[in-house]
Amino acid sequence: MRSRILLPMLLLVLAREARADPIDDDIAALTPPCLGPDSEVVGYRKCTPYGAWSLEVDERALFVSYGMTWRHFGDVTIPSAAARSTSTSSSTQSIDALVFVERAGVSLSHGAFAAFEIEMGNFAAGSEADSHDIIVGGLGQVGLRAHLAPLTLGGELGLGYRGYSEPDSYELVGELVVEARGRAEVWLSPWFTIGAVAGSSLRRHGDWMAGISLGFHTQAYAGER
Amino acid sequence: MRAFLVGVLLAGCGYQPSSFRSDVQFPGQRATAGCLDISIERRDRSTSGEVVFAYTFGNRCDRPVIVDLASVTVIGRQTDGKPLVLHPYDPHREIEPRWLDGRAVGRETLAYEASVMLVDICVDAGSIPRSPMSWWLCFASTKPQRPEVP
Repeated sequence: MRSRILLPMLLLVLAREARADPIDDDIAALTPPCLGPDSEVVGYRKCTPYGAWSLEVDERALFVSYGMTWRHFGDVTIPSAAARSTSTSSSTQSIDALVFVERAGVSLSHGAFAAFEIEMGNFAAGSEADSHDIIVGGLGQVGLRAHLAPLTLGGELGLGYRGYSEPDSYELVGELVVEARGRAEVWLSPWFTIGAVAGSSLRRHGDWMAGISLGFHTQAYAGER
Repeated sequence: MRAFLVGVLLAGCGYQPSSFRSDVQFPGQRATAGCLDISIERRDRSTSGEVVFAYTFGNRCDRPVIVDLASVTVIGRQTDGKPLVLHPYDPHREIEPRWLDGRAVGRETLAYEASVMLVDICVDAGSIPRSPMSWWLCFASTKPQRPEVP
């Protein structure tokens, strides 16, 4: 019984020893799998799959942009420092804010797109010491754009929320934001853009924004040319 | 930061039509078919005797274009003059038509099994982007496809 098990094992070991070439084994062991003589040939290569260069056209073109926006609030109610502890008196004034914006979106069809952006920043220096100090927001957008090489021009409508706080308070005062914008982008390369945006609030008279951004696209020219 | 931005922008530069130049080399014979600038270089594998072609392609257009290396026409001419259609070695069945993004470049190296001596081998570069026009690039045989046994 024991020989029935041992004999096939012995034959298997002998067969493997006979087939193996020690020199080939040494070369194979020394050659990194991605740098061998056949490392590029389809069917032999092990590191890169076929078509690593290719594009999945079934997937929608995505884009991400990073930028800075200057926001102007035309009519903001600010409680005065003296009044805050004693009464409810307040004043109104215009105020500016500088925010960093990160925006991500997807191309739909016929030049339409949807995007979402988040922004975070501070009210500008020079405003009153007790004015709002932090501003955060999120905005969903839908829009249309057209390509006029090397430009892309578009318009968009945004709906979202913006909150701001005062220096001595952790509470956010929030408000609904509805904004219309125009956007122009220049293609620095098929996958990178630099753009400018300007817009106005549809809810609050006198609120406007303007900014610049750098965009990255997963498909050449947003897959729309 | 500035160097990073410059690097990102240079890396993202698109392929320029007819330049046959990018971050990858375009070795061998060149052809332009449809939206594709194509170069084909012949290499022979000394160990197995297979014929190997390295295809490099750049998209001249802003839109994606098909790259069909699965059905590219490769024909060898035998010593008696008869043609022999060659098929790529594809044990994992991974070679299939793929899309190349606008202004992008790509490269693939395929092996073709040839069991007989071939005088020359011609590749229809026009069949890569499925162009209606043929563009034949021919490569003379440099050595027997099978190593001779002494």
